[in-house]
Amino acid sequence: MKHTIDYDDWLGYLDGGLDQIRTARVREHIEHCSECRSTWNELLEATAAIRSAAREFALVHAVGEDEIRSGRERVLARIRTLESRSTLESVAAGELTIGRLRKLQQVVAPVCGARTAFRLIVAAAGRTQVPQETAPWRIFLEQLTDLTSALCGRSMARLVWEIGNSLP
Amino acid sequence: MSTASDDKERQAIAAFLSERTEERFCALFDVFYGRLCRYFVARHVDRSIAEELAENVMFQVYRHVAQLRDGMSFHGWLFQIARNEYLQHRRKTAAALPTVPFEPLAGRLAETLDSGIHQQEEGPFREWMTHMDATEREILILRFVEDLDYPEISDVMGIPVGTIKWKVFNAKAKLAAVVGRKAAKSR
Repeated sequence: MKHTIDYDDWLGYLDGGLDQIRTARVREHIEHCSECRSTWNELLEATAAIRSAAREFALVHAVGEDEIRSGRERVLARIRTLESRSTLESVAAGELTIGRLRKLQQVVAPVCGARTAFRLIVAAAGRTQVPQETAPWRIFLEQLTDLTSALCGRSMARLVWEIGNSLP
Repeated sequence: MSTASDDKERQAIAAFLSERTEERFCALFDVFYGRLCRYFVARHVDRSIAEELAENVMFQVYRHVAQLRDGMSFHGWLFQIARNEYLQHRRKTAAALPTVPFEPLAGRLAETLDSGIHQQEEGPFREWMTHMDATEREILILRFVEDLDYPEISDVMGIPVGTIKWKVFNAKAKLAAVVGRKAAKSR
């Protein structure tokens, strides 16, 4: 007899996941083929056995409430450490930016006056986002250089650009 | 059929994926920590180390949940992290201690050995796994202990679904022979 059942049919039939047409085809074949009927019985027995053994194994190795609680506390402590560290890092980045802005203000102020220097920086910041990352800092510096050039001349603007780029 | 624990899992996953808060993470932790510990124990990791590895996995889940791709199941993603953690652990221990590679006992030899008290406690699962190759063992643990479906196992192992099914089928056929031998012996 020609065997028309492949592994996908067997698994689907065992798991109950086949559509009606394939289920009927497998069932009919098993009814008429003694070899496949015997395979079916063996697979059915093996599936039931492994399911029951796996359940038993899972029960023996179940984790108690106390272990879950202490595991959870340990992981939460790690998360809190991680989050407080990232907060510190963003505060440090903010401080770095403020330091850079002060430096630029000190460069512009002797030539254009402290008030103008302050306004230039505020205006350039207003045209960009808060300059924190490397790329926004560059955009901010371009804006500041343009404004400085218009108000204090090209030499001053070039100085602002060069110093701004060299700041750590 | 959906059970109460399935519903609890689904709710915990949905809540955490919609908002990453500490409270929601705790609910998720409570649901999955035990399963992760058991997964490592099933792979022959000591209980205390299994707990540590499970904690590492949950920590990574908290940190990298944004990396969960659309269409990938949470279970598949979670056990993929667990599998990587296990492989990393194995690499570390192998580097620290040169050992003879594990070789499963031949079926006949395994049957002749005294099963021991611990085996009686946890049933025949571990002993049956000695008849399987490493990939089959891993797939059977995910399928029957962790109750993952074929596409989820495929996500975890990076193997096509068809291959996973083929391996499960072969493993069941091997197991049928073992179970049959045992039954014949006990008659």
